[in-house]
Amino acid sequence: MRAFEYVSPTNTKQAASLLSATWGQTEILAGGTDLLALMKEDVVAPKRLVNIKDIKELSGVNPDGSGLRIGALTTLVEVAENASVKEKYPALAEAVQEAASPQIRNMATLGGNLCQRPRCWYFRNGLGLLPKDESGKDLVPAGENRYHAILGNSGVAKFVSPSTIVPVLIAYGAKVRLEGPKGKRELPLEKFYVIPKTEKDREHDLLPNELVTEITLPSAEGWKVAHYEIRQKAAFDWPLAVAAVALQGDASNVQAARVVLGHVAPTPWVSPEAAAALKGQKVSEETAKKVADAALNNAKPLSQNAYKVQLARVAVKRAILKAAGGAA
Amino acid sequence: MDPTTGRMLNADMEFYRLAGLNDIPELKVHMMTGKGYDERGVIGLGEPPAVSPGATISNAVANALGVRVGILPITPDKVLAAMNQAQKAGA
Repeated sequence: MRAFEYVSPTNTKQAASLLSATWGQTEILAGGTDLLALMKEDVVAPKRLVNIKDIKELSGVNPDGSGLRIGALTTLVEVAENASVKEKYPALAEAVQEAASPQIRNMATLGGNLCQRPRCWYFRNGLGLLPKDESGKDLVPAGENRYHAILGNSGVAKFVSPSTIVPVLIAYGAKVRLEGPKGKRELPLEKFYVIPKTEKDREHDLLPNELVTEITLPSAEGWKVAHYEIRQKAAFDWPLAVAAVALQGDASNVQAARVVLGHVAPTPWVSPEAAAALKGQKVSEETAKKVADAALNNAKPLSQNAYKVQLARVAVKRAILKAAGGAA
Repeated sequence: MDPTTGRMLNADMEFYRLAGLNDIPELKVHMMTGKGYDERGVIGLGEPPAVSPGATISNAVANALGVRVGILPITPDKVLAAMNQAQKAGA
């Protein structure tokens, strides 16, 4: 690990002012479960770490109108064990409980989970987010791409969005609040993620000197939400495919739906095709299959990951059936 | 390994996916001792457990699916490929 400067601001404004306007110069330290590993591997080498753990206002789960507001510094274990989350957003509690390992959930924060860097093994080996050889040829299409993207991969970005919690947050209609030198702003969570086009871009819309301050959830009244992960290992593993589904109204006549996939594209993948295919339908094994086909209709697998299309279909189907109340 | 750069991509415990505690069922160990065994003298214990589980798991998968997955580790991509091939052959 390289030497760095360490600062501990006590409010958000101060923190934003200590962050550089250029990526790579400074990094935000919260739980550190991702950042410290990246620094040890020399994938990132910030000149200054801005520790935000002393900013009290960024922690905690509080009511927000008829919904909830979760501070960015709230740890995953605090989210999973919060009574309001468990009662009103059970699929979120479940997704958080399944993330990483108990040790990591005790340290990792929800804001950090939103901003964690991709698990792409080219990126983690220091070859860059959009890895290329010396002649400028993309490495992933000709390389080890079994865990890479099957959707949204027509550009240079082939990695997959790493969070297993974000798809279910998007299914619940979550928004993210950011604060930077230009003030505060709020985005629907799905708009927070972007597909980078150059190595200078990041995979989210955050400015280098902005912080995620809060995640807000609207009331989930009248919605049935479920989350389904397909993994190689039973614990402490990143999934091969994730699906989160929210259904409004009765399972015999779906009024509206949100279908969000994870680990299939460089961003969490919202499928309007699948949502449209669910609307007005009675949920059954057959409809769930049709919706899953609609969600993966535009999938373009790489040389080694066609199997992920089938896994993602199954994840969508099972999440729909689980949301409707049946066994997954 | 990346074929272009020759870089080992799974050189750590995150990407070199070993089965964890939750992936492994209860193990029952039988020691083959007593008459007929003791006379053979000292025998190594480290290697046998590395040989048989692969074949045992592979047989269990074949028994469950009716399809043989011939390469370890038996990962989802290999299982799906073997099942798709069997389906095609049967059709």
